[in-house]
Amino acid sequence: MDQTTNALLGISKTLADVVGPAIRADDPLAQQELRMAIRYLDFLRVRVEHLHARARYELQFHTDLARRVSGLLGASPTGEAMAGAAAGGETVLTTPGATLDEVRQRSGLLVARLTEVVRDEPDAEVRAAVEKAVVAASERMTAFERSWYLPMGLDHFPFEVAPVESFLSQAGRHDTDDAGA
Amino acid sequence: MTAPDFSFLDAPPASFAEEMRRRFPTERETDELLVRKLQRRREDRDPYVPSTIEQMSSCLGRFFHDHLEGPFELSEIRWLAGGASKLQVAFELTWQRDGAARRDRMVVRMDPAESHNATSREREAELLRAFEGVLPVPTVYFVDVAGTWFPEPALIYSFAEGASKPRDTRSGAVSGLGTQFGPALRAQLAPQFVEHLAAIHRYDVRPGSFATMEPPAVGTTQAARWQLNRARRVWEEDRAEDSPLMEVATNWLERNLPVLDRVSVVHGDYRSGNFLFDEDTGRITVWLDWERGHVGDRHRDLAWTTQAMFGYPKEDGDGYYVCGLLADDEFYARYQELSGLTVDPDRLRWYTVLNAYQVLVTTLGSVYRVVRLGKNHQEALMVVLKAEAAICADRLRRMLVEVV
Repeated sequence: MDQTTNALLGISKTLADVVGPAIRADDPLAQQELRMAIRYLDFLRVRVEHLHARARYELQFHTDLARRVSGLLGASPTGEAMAGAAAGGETVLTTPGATLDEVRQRSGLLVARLTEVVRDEPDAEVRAAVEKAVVAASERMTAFERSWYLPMGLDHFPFEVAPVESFLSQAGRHDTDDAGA
Repeated sequence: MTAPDFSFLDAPPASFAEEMRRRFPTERETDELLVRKLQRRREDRDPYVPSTIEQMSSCLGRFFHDHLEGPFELSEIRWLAGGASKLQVAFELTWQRDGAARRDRMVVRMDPAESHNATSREREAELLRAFEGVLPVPTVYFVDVAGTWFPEPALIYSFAEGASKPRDTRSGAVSGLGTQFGPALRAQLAPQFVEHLAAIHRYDVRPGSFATMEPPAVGTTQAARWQLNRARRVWEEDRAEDSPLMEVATNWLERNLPVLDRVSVVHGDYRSGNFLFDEDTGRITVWLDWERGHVGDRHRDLAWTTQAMFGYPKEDGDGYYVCGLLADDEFYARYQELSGLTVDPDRLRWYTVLNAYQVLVTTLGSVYRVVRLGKNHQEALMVVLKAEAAICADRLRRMLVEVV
């Protein structure tokens, strides 16, 4: 049985209970760094079990966006390349046992293709449509990111943020919304 | 097929640095700082050795040996926290000045080997000297411009008394972000907060006023261009990933560069956490962290100060207090009254988008590179700040929905 979360719990506790009191009172930098280290370990403890699901969520998002953008680009070489990239994303998502690295690599590739189009698309009208699609679709991703990092305690408006499980349960589902949002 | 690999940015070739200079021209000193940053990544491959308090003590000793004529004594040398980007050591110096013996509490403020915010101690000193007597600022004693006596460039100034947040709050624990001051302190601090910003922006900038900063041309987009190019360049130099959303923001910012109507001194990081105050009297005792200061468009400061990440939610849940101090409509009204300067919504919107973009550059790009290179003293703080990228990306997206 994997005991990572239990281990992180113990390490966080010993840093707070044993290491913390040993730091000199006149060393606020060391105290600050210890507090931040504990804060991150506690965050990691509640997220580590979801790392693979997170990667799949991201890949699903980028695959959906690439499919949407390929439609805006039409039957152009860029559009066909984008459609191919989206299909590649779908293949990884439906491949049983796809590794975390494979999922992340494919996601990174899709992000790179999408970024290139936003940056380089020569037709102003098409580029404007792609920009709108990216911004509209990004609501799904930024909401997820806020949810993912919520345990870090920096979000001023936590009541706006849905539980991370509500996002991760969607991973693997196709986006059917026209706006991609 | 594999995703793009940005690990070459750990030690980018000289040709990359030249490409950055060509694609993103910016003000002279900023250009030099960014060139130096990449040069060091390329050439300084020695393992990082953290600065110790003993090393800093030794550097201080050598520095004062070379800069003071009479005898001196160093004591009470200790690290300071606060400030997410610089190493700070407090100490007491017993020395002689103008024939009189004295004992002063001072701070040496030094760059880390790799910072998420490459800035100039010389510029910071110049700005502090300009505002001495105008605002509560530390007295600058010495500057080691090139890091001759210290491991990196360093500034020595007076130690300032005061607190960055109330004693009884748990808010503002990360670099002063989101501080809850409470009604009584808000009423005392808010007027000073606005008054001081107005004083900074009213400062009479003339050609040659500053050695480290050139005024951008009024009636042109140069001020905005310099700031945008700086942010874009840092993103290209530090990032670990692509981002379509960042690219959309870049396109919009490029298409809508605002024209400068008046040259102002811009503090660059005017917010709670960067001023100290006396909790008993409610007086602001000092303004710190001028490292992002420049001369340019006042709207850069206004948009920076009013960011949600520095605010604190109102009790009624309807938005937030600017820097935890006052409602934004009250902030702008008082600012215009005190400064005599206008707030242009279009320019404010442009700089609001730019600032969100810049914070993302830092939290998504620079923080990653700094932690990866392992040449900083606050990596744990850096990784926690990464969480801010999620909030800021959402804010940037909301802004882009309105303008794209």
